[in-house]
Amino acid sequence: MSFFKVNEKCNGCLACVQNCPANALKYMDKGNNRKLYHNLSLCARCGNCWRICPQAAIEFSQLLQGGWDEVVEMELVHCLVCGQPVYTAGVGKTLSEKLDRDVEALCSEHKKSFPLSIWKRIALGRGFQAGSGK
Amino acid sequence: MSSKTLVIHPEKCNGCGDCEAACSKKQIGMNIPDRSCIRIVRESDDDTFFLPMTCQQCDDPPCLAACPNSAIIRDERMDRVLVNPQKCVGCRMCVSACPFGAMGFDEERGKSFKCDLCGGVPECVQACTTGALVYDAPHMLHQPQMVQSAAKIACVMRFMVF
Repeated sequence: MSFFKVNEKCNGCLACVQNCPANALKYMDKGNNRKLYHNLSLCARCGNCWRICPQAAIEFSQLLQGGWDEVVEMELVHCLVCGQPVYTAGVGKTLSEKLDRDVEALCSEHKKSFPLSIWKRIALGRGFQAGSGK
Repeated sequence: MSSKTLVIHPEKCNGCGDCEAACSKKQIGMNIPDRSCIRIVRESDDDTFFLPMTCQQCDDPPCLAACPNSAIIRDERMDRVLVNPQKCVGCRMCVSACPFGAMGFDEERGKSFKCDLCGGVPECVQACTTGALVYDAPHMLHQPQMVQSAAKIACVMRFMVF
């Protein structure tokens, strides 16, 4: 996750570092390499660097346009009956470690109706007895 | 033990939904069946067998084991499992962990909710008119059957004596 991105067009001219009013950009020359640093907590989000860059190498539009950064993507587990997403694979793993058993991939509704057929058999068997008793 | 248990007799349930309405009314003051802690399930829309499902107040609750923030506690005095809404962070681990699907999740508040037996006077039991829901001490739960078999034995005895 980084708001300040520089693409391959950057040639290291340091125009952005010179023109940053908040001193949020710095560079360091070490040996054969020049490194460019950005500090988000100092950055005023003014977009000056992005406007000034002669190579149009700075991808600052994410922050200026209020775009969304993708943080993380993970696998989903779906309910076996209705197919609606119930939890992520990571949650399933954590739960099965905590509970020492596999967690059923069912939504709350279908977990409730899961014992229905068994209950029905028991209840109907008992129901006939109760009916004849009365 | 002095604590009482909530017992469900599905063969007596007629699916009226009074328990759901009473629970939801007690929980949020409105009749929204989705916010009820007790739900009536059935196989298909024209099925006449109804199964009211609610929290089983497990001795070793999976929801308690799953909670990463110790927001779920077991109240031994009343034999029930409780969610502390101040501690609940809304991760839904308990919802996935419950094998009965009894843990509810309030999307508005972002917290889990479950049956707390209404502090000892369950509204669903008060509302149930068919006797499908019973809240009583464990030794009292089989009383009707005991009375029935006692009557049968008495009948046989009378027949044998006279």
